[in-house]
Amino acid sequence: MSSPLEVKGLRVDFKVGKNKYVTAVKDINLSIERGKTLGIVGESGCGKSVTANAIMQLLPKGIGSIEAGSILLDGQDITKCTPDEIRQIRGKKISMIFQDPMTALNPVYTVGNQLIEMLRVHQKISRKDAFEYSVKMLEKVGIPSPRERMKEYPHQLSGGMRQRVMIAMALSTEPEVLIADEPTTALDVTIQAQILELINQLKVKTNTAVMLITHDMGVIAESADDVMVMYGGEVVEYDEVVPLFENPMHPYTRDLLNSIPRLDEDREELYSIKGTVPGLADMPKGCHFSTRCTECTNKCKTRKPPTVQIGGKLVKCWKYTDREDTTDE
Amino acid sequence: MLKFIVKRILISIPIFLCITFAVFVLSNLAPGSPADVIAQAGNLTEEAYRQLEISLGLDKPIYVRYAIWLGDLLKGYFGNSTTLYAPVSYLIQKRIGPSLLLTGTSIVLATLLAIPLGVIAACKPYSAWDNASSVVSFLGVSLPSFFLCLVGIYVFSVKLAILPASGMHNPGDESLGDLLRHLLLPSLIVCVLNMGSIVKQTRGAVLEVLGEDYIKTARSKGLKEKVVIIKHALRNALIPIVTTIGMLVPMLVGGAVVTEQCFGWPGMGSLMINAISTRDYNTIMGCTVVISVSVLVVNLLLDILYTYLDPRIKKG
Repeated sequence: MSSPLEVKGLRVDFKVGKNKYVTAVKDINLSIERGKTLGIVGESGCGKSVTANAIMQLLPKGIGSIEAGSILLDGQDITKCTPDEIRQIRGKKISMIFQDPMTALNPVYTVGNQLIEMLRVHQKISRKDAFEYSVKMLEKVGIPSPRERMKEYPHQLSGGMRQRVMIAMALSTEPEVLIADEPTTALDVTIQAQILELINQLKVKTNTAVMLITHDMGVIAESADDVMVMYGGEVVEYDEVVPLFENPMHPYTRDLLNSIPRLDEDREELYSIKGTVPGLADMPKGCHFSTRCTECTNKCKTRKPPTVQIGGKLVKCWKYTDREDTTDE
Repeated sequence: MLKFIVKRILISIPIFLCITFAVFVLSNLAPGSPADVIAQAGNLTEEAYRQLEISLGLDKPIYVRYAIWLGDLLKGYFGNSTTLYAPVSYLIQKRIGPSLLLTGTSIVLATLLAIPLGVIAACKPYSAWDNASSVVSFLGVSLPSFFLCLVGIYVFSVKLAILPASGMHNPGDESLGDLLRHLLLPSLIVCVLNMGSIVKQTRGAVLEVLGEDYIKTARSKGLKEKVVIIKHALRNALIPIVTTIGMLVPMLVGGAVVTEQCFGWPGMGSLMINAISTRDYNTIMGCTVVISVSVLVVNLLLDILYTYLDPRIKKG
């Protein structure tokens, strides 16, 4: 199977002061197949969104920049594209939906206007045809009386409906890759399941590769085929979803899974990982997770762990190797 | 919508009464009266002075005088000017045209120049462009208008001798070209004086909107940056910009007082200044009525306009 999206050795730096930079994400390798979902999971500040924005080339101008690696879209390295070429890729080949549907749609234009705009940027189509096609898209994402909705403003729709509009818009150009950046975080729990279900259905129907960013392991279990666990701007574990849940190897993945409240256990207090993700500027010298890891050794504190391949799994931890060298550095 | 407009007009009535009453009382409490100004011309006996006061109605208490003035106003009568010997309505009619022309031209110019400048500054914040436009804006806002007028007259009328320094027409020349030549310098100066606030407001509003999620959505759709800025960002930033421009409109009617004085422009501003210095109560009140009504009308129009600019603002 071909991978429409492949990222190799991506590194993104952020400017934090005059001639001062921090590395936001490093050594990101990933690939997504058509009709499959790659789930990216981790706490806030682990570099999930930075990775997505880097792929869309939507890093804040003059602040974030891709310093190394390549992003291959159908084999074409889009980090080398001109801004004009990128513009034609955005929305056409890669679409994106965002966390907060309440603010992601422009409040002063009707839903129809924004849907039609998307279509007309990327293809020669009359306003009338674009209107009809948009109505069909709204129908596809399960919006009742789509024709009336076209004339409504975003504030007249509920959060779930707006996210459906965003999905309709993102998929209207039949992109090869859909990046969903926490698409359900801002929604009601009941709506969350519907939206995930919708994304899953459409993914199969349109054979789109989906990159699903979330901090919710439950969302991963429900939607992802492959999972990439990120911590402190690095990939700490990468595996298919079933083996990852059955046999989590990285201590961070284990902690994340332990944090899910379980109905079959009677616990007074929910499990949580101690501490918070350190700021990008104060990442520990060795393993980034060493400050919070329960199995941390001296080696972890001072030296960066290598990425070890075990079967189909990639894991970045000293536990699984006898090697003394740090190949990544 | 109609209900909203009627409600707003009803609210405007007490506001209008407050404004006119305050101005009426303040101008009447100021030392000196129209009788004093007239008396200066000839040596009046005490008796004649009192007669004059009675004929001007100045013997009555202030609130009675206000009531009489208000009653006249409702009949459409503004009173007569006590120094210019003409009905106030006639004076205003003659002066409001030139004022509208001068300030109208400058507001249009200021808007056309300031919005693009503000947008460019917002797109490249803290760049050389942005800093330059900041400096120019602050200069425009903070320089006293008489200073700019004098510099303008010195450079263009005295040194370069390409533009006239005073008036609306050369004597005997009523052509449009002549009018435009007279209009150019004062309207440019009024434009520079007012541009700063629009530039700053545009920059601030657009910069804020550029951080919104829907701008990111617009970019992720693959729209051209020009479309992102103009269609998505500027359109959302319009409310504060339109408000700022709306605030300039009262000046449109009231005239640019100092600039009109400097250029001998026969507008409302100079009429009002003369009326104040000669305690010409009726003319002062006439100008007050025109200006306050225009402020109230503009505010109403702005509120109606908002509902079109932002569909989230409910009509009614």
